[in-house]
Amino acid sequence: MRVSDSAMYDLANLRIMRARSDSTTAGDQVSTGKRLEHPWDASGDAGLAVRHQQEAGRFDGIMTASGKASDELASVDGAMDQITTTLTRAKELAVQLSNDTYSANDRQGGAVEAQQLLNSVISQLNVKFGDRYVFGGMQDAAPPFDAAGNYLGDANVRKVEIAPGVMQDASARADVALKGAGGGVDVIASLQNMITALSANDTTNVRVAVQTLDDSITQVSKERSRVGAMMNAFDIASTMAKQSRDTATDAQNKLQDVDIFEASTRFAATQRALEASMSAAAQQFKLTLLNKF
Amino acid sequence: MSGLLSILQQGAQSLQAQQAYSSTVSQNLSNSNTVGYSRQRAEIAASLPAERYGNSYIGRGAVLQAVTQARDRFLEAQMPGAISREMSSGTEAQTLQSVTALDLDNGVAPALSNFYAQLRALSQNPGSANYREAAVAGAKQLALTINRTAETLEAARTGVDAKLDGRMAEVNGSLAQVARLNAQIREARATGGEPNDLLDARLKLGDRLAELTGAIAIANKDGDLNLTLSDGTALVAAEKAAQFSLLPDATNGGHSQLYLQKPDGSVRSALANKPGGELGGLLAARDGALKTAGAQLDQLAFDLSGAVNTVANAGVALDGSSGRDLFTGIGTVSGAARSMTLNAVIAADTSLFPAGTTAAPGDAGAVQGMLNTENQALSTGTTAAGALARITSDYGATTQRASTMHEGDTAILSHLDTMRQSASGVSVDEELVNMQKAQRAYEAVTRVIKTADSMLETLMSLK
Repeated sequence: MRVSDSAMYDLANLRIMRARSDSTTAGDQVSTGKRLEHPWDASGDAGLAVRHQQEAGRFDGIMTASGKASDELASVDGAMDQITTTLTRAKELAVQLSNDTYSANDRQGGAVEAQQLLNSVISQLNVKFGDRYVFGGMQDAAPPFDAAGNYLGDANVRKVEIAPGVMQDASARADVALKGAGGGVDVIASLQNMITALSANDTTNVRVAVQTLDDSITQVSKERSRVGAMMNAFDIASTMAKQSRDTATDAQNKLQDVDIFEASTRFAATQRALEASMSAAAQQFKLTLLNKF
Repeated sequence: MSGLLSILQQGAQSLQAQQAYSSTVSQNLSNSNTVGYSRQRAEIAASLPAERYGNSYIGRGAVLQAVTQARDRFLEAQMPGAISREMSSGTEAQTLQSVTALDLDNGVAPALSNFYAQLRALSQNPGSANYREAAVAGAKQLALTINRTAETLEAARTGVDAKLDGRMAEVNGSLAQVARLNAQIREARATGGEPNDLLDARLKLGDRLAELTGAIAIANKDGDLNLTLSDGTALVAAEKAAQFSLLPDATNGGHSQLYLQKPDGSVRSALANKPGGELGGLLAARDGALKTAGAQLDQLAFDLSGAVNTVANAGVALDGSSGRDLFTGIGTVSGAARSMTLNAVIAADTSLFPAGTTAAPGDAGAVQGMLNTENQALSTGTTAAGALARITSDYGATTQRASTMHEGDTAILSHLDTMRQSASGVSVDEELVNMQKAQRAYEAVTRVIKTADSMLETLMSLK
């Protein structure tokens, strides 16, 4: 084929530009580690990557929220553990002071200790996790119990998403566990009755308090078990959400990220091609009769 | 005596022919880098008629017969189409690739993901001022990102309008110039010669108009180069040229629409079909993927804000107030993405974010309802994430298609151009050899003249 000078230069230019473009693209992929940055890099994969990105974000959110709910329930569990310990001590005190060998003064002293135990229970019930009171149901901005032991919270249970569209209870029912809503024992009232009985040296009612405190401990323990079950549910949800997030992230990375070895090899190859095209062009340009005449 | 004088005369004539040959070589060398130049050839032929000498004929030297162009009409006929396609697909791909608002890492997708992540965090502790701030910030970021993306898409479409406008003068000027050249070439041919440089200039303009508009060149029997669009709409008819103009199209968001006043001077009317070349590529990008992505984004913004607002409206703020949208500024689908904004009341006071179904600070009922919109099928039959994935893949597919087409079109054009250059381009080596050839011939003729002169001198010195 007859080759004109203009065609020779144009072709050399085109080939060098193409080789440089390939080399730049390969270099970009090596330096950024991404093969899919723009929608047109691989349109089908780009749409899929968006879906994986959203899935990863969703499960990351579920994992975080479940983790926080579990942490919060751990503080609820801790508080209920303290309350159980306190109630156990109160029961021991009631058993001890229901014995006729103790005097009225002893029972007065016991009443003082029982009052401190009650204060301790109320204090535990007003525990905060972060900026919220955990025993008030949805009324979590203010202490759920006043000094007299009245419940100021509500009967609602907070819920947190543990899987897309699946909600899990995330709060203890203090109104049920401590105030006996729905037919249970009013734990605060039991302690208050015990204090009253001790103050009045009323051994009959002290003995009644032993039984109600025993029921209170059972009732609190039952709610604590429910809290434990909720924590388990959140821990499992968090683990599963993490797995789902990692799966979605892996899938997204597989679509978006380059195989660094393959990309490096391609980069080296495109650089060689660029060098070769430049070298070939330079050799072509040298061969001209202009230098001979 | 007369024979020797005849040799001198022949020599002079042959010298002129060789000079013309050298001049043509010189012209070729001077234009070896001129775009659209077709190499010329000085056709030298034996001078006729030969002189009768007895029973024989003696030649009368050489004469310049014509200066022709080396052209391949078959290749030239294919060039405008190839140029038009390459320019159209290249312009479309380049225009679409200039928009990075739909990129995976900085587009709407991360903002949408973040919006729901912040709602999810808020759902766990809806009374928290910090989480409320974060959720409001997430909603604001989503609205702003959708605004910015829509504005970027619209700015790209407006940019296309500006580019179209910028091309009008060149297109109209080139069309008028082709019409003028038709007249000049016809005039030059009437005087007998082939106006090679005018033909080159016309061919070059034809190529440029193919680049700009996809004009197809049709030579008529009078030697005129008529130009038409691919649907047959005349652009140049002999000595008359059409004229393009732009007017805003109210049915297309006020974007420019191409009008044409045909060469016959008829009233201008909107182009029935899109032109080819750069104008076609620009229009394909503007009214294709860019417009579609903008409309899809509008639909997403409209549907998503509608779904979230339905829940937000039923939601209750910490002060017990309700009936508040989270996103405002949306009236119709058209323009929803650009007008979507966070409710200013909520932005100013995050306690008014309607998180619950009651005023209880721990009530996240409404936030959970908003979270459910993540799984909710919108009017397009898919979720917000699905709609976004579709916008991304649709835009990517169109851009990818244009880019792939451009690669193919470039290869075809490059091949055709190489072939055309092979026939019409200047080879410096070849011309240098021709120059040597002309020089040698010139020297030889000079030697003949010298010899004839010497012979004449010998003859004249006879006593």
